Amino acid sequence: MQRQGIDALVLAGTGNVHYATGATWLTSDAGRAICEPAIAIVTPHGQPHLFTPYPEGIPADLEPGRRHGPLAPEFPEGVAELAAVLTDLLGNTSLRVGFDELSAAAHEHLPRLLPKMTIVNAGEVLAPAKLCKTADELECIRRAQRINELAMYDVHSALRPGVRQCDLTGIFLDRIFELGATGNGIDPIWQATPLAIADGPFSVNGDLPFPIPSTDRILRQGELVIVDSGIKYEGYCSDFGRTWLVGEDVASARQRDHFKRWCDVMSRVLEIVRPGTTGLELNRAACKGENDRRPWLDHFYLIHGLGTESAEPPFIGTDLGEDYDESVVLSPGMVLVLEPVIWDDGHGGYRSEELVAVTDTGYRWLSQFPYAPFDTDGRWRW
Amino acid sequence: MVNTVPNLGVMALEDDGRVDFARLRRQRRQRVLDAMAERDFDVLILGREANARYATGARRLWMSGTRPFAPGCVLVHANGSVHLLNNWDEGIPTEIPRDHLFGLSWNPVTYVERLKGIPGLTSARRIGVDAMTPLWRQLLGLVAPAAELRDAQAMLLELRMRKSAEELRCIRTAVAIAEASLAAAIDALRPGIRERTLLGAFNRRMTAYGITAPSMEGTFCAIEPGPVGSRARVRRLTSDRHIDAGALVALSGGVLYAGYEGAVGRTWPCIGPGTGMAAVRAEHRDLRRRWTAVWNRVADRCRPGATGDDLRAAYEASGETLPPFPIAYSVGIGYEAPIAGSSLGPIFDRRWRLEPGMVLGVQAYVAGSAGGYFGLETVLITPDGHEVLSSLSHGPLLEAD
Repeated sequence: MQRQGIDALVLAGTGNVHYATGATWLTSDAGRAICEPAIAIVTPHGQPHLFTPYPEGIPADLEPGRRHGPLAPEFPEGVAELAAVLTDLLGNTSLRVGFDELSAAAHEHLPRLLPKMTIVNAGEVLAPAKLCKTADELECIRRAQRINELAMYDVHSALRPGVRQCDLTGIFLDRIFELGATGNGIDPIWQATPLAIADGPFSVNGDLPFPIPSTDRILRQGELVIVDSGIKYEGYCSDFGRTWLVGEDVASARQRDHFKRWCDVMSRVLEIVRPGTTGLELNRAACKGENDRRPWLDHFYLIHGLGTESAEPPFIGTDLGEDYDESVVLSPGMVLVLEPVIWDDGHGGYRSEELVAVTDTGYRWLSQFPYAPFDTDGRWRW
Repeated sequence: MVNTVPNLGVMALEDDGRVDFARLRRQRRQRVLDAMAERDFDVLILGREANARYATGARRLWMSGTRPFAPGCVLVHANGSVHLLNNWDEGIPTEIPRDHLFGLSWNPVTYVERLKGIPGLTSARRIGVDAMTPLWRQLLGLVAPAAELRDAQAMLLELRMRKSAEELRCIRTAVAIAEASLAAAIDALRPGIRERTLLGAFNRRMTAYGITAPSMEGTFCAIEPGPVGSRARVRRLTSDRHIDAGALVALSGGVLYAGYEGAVGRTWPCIGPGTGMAAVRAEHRDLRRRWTAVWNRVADRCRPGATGDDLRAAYEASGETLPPFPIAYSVGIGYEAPIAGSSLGPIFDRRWRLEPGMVLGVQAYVAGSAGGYFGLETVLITPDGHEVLSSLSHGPLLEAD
C-alpha cells in the first residue's frame, strides 16, 4: 500500500478477504456470498477491520476493536453505511482507496457520498503481495492438495462403466469434508472427452472445449475422462487434474505415447524452474519440438499461480502474449500449477496438473498422485 | 401458479418434461427486456452469476464464493440479442446463436475489442450494470464513451423475485432434494459423530439426484448449552467437533436444481437411532414449542401486502430475540436478497412488500441455557396467504408432545 500510495483497501472478494484477515464463513454460491458478505477494510496501521455475519469465523487473535457486524454494500442502504464507516475510519479527506470489486450500488453512490475519495484498483496492491507465499501458506496449500488427492483415490476406484458424473461428485464431496476440507471450490469436473474436437460441442476458439460442467451423465466403457477439482483448506486452494479411462486397466500404446509426450513437456519445463527464470523461457521450453500446437489449452495457460484464489498470478502462456510472459520472473515462494495438454485430434490426448513451489535453488513438489492407467508400471517417478 | 400437487423428480418423462425449460427461459428473458424498456436501459452488462443465468439460461461451472465482475453477458434492447463471453456452446441454450459467443480472454484489450464488436453497444446512452471493478470502470468508458453506467441490480432483483409457474416447479424440486439430503444427515446422526461427517452425508445424498452443487455448504452444528440463565449461541460454520449424546444439533442445507435454491433447516437431538422418546429432554421440547410459537407468528404475516418489517415485528412480538442473521430472505436463483431482520435494519425491511409468487426462506432461532432450536422453512406467497413448500418433520422433539 505504501509503495502504491494507497491509503486503504476495501475488500469484498472472498479470496481477498481471507488473505487480509484469515476469517472463515459459510461457503456458498455467489448469490449468498454477496448478500451475506465478509468485508475487510485494511488501513496502514494495525490489524485489518473485519465486518462479518459469522462471529465464529473471526480469527482468535483479531482485536475486539477490529471486529464488526456485517456490511451489505449490495444495496444502496448498505453503501451509505459503508461510506459512514469509511469516513469514521479514514476521516473525510482526499484519499486513494483500493477496491477489489464494487457492487452496482457502490459504483453509483460511493463517488457521490465520498466526493474526496479516489477509487483505485486494489489488485495493484494484492497481486504483488499475494505472489510469493510464506512457509505457512505453502503448508495450507499442501494440506489442501493432500485432502483433494486422498479423496481422489476413492473416486478413481469407483470409476467404472455406468457410473454417473454426479456419483463421482458424491464420493468426492463426502470424502473431502471427512478429511478436513473447509470448503469445496469448484463443482468437480469429470469431462467425458470426445477423441476429436469436431465431435465435441462447438467452440469459438477451435481448441478442446474444457471445462464442461458435470451432470448425471453416464460414463461408458473406454471413455477418456478429464478430471479437474479444487477444494479449500483454511481459505487456501488445491488444484487436482488427471486424465482417466473408464473401465480400462491399461491405456493403449497411442494413449501411453500421449502421456509420455506430456511427461516430456513437464520435464523440459521443470528442468528450468528456479528463481530468475522468466515465463517466456518456460513457455518456450514447453513448446520446444511441439510443432503443431502449443502444448496447453489455447484459452487457458501453461502455468497459473494458486493461493486464496484457484487461479491467480503468475499466469504464463495466456493471450496476454510473450511480452507479458517475459515480465514474469520466478521467485522463491511462488506456487506454480503446470497444466500442459497433449492433443492428438481424432485420438484424444492427455492432461494432468501438478503443483510445485519455487525454492531458493529450484522447486519442490506440492502434489503427488499416480498416473494410472497411463504409466504402464504404475511407478512413474520424476 | 401450480395448483395440483406436482409430480416432483429429476428424470425427464416422455409425456411431461416436468419443467418447460424453453418457456422458462423465454419468460425470464422477456421480463428482462421489458424492464430494460421501462427503465430506459439500452444495454445491460451482467457479471453477477445469478443475473446472467436468469437472463440467458446459460449453465456455467459452479464455483464457491464471489466472482470478480467481468462483462460476461451483454443484452442489447434494440434487437433483444444476448451475447455471452463463453468458449463453447455446451450449456448454452440454442436460442443464443453461436456468433454471439465469445472466447475466454485474459487480455483486457481483447475483451474491449470484442465488446466493441457487439452491435448497439458502442452507441449506447444508458448501460445498466449489476456490479463493477475499478478496472472495468475505466475500460467500459473505452467501449461506450457516450454511455452512463447505472445500477441495474435493484431492477434485476425486483423482477427475479416474482416467480413463474416453471420457476416454482424448479424450487419445489430443489426443496424436495434438500429435504432428502437433510434426512440423510439426520440418519447419520449419532453420539460421537463429527459435525463434518453430517455435511458429507448431506452432499452424498444430494448427488444421488444428479445435483452436483449445493447452494451453501450448510450448517451441521451442535448447539452447546450454557450456564443457567444464559442463551445458547448457534454456530453456522460446520466444524471438526464430535457431537455428544443428548446435544441439540442445528441442521440446515440448500441445493440447486436448474440453478434454483431449495433449502430446509431443522434441529435434532443427538439420541442415536432406535433410542426411545424417553431420551428427549423436556427443556428441549420446550425450545421446540417456543420456536413453533415464533414461526406461527411470522408465518401468519407471510401474505401479500406485508412488508419485511411486518415479519420482523411479528418475530419480536413473540418475545424472542432476533437472531444474528436475516429471518427472511428471497429465494430464487440462489439467495436473492435479505427481506427481514438483516443488519440493515427496519427501514431497509420496509422497502420489501410481499407479493404472490415470491418465495422466502424463513428462519428462526430460540435459545435457553439447555440449548437452542433453529428451523428454516421455504415459503411461497400465494394470493391469499402462503404455502409452506418444505415438509420435513420436526422429528423427535415434535413427536414427543
